[in-house]
Amino acid sequence: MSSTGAGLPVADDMLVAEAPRSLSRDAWDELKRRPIFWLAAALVVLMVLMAAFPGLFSAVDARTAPCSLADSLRPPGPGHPFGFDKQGCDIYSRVIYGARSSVLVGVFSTLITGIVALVIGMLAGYFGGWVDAVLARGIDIVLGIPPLLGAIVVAKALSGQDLGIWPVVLALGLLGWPTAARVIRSSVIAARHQEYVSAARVLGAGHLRIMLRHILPNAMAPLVVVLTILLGQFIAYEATLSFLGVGPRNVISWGVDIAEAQRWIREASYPLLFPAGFLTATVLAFIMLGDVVRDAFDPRLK
Amino acid sequence: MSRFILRRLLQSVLTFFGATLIVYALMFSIATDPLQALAGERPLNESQRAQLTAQYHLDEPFLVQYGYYMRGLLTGDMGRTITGRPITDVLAESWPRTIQLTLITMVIVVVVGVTGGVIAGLRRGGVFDQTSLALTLVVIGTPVFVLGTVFQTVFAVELGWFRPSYAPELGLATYILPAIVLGLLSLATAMRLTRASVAENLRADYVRTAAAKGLGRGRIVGVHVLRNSLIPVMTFLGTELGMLMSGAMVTEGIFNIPGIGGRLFQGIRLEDGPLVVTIVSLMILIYLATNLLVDLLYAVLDPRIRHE
Repeated sequence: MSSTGAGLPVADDMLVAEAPRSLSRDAWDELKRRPIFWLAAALVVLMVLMAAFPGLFSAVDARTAPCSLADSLRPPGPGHPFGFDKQGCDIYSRVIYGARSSVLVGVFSTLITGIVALVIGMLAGYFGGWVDAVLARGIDIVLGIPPLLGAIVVAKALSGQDLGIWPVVLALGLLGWPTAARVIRSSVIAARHQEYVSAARVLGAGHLRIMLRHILPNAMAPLVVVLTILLGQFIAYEATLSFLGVGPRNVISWGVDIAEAQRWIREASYPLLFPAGFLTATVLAFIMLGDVVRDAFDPRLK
Repeated sequence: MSRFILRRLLQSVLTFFGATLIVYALMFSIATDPLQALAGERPLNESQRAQLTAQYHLDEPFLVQYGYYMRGLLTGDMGRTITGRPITDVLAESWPRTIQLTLITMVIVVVVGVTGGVIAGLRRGGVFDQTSLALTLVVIGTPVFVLGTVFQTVFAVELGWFRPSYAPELGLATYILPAIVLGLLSLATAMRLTRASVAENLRADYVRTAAAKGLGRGRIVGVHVLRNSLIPVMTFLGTELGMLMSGAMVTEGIFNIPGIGGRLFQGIRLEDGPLVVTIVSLMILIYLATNLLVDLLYAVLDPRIRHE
């Protein structure tokens, strides 16, 4: 295996039955035994389903259903398990339809963050020297801007235009990458001096090939972990921005509903507690998932 | 040591200008009409346009604008809010409240977080450890504004233990519930960090040596383990001080505290662009300054850092 294996990505090892046990295989065996992994994964799948097919969960379409002030703050009852908000809208259907903007913002911001972090972390770690010095300063600079504050400024600058979720996605994606870039940089540095990398270089592989085929697979696990946790955080940021009034425009959002419910808190608390519960469960699911996967990949903690 | 300080200072100057330049560029160059973005939805008349243009030097090249803006920020001349009030006045009036809130928060975080973390670290795997691990995870997964609104609902509105909003006649007591909300996330992180740090140091060679010399457990933990475990925790708490400022925006907003964060919260709702940009820049400045201080402190405490 070792004589020809240098060119194969790590993932291929897992498919060969007689191959030695890989780290990912060990990690998967470890994960399978953790109930918290299954709980978090089930929650994530549920939220993604809710975001993609809200109609499966709610017969009432919150985007078009009429709200009647006669129902204002009506408590939970048959057919309407979460009751009605101040405007007389069905809270259950709003909670279900609110998942979409959260999940979309989370996924797209994470995608941008992942790409930026991968490119910058890989270049800094692989080439080192002045490239690393310049990029490290860049990382420091962006790290100096708390994402929430930066996103407020972006949202403020683009206010007045109806751009949906995109200002928030761009702001979070372009300010959230430094932590992920640092993680990649350090795992690239660790992999750079391995023998199989030197072997590939001696065999005449170019920089790009070494980076993509030999180093990247080893940097993937920590990247996935940090991105999973970031995805949860981005969802929390999106809701916070909506709560502050600078979130995505014209979409149903948990943050907006929580802000609205807070104004009538003395009359009824359930319009606040239901969206708050769903939001927390979603953020928590991603953070738990990242946490448990990191534990599985980090044998030092055992 | 002085070389380290010099290098670190230069780095943070660069970071500061880089970060504020990005914020400034975000504010003024991505908007198609920066004046309208500053004013939000409200209509602007010609004299307001002229005033804002002059205030932000929008008729000059971008870098010159940024230069004027930085000079204003650093010399205390921060312009006026959209309603014409000097921003310096607003800030002078709000600062003390935010500082009081942040200090009370810090006390809660240090006392509860570090103590809890030490106990959990010493009894790893015990009931207290397991419970606190689960609870802190829930806290880490809950956005501050959810904690704030839920705590306000449960502890102030439903149970009546606290006032639901700022009551200056209560003195410092009015900050207790907001401080708990603001500090819970830092508390949870500080606790986990302390726990991990104590647990790791308990296995260190010097602890075995100390035990072999016949030292009592109290002395080993109290003198050797704690001193070494608390260095990373202190660093974390220092950087957290800056982060608390942006958390204060949400917490002060929810509890109606008219501090810096509360003003930012209102500024966003009232679409007061100049106020928002100024407060955000100031918060970044504080964040960078605390980071720098912590780094220097860290180098004093841990010689390994400055010799890297």
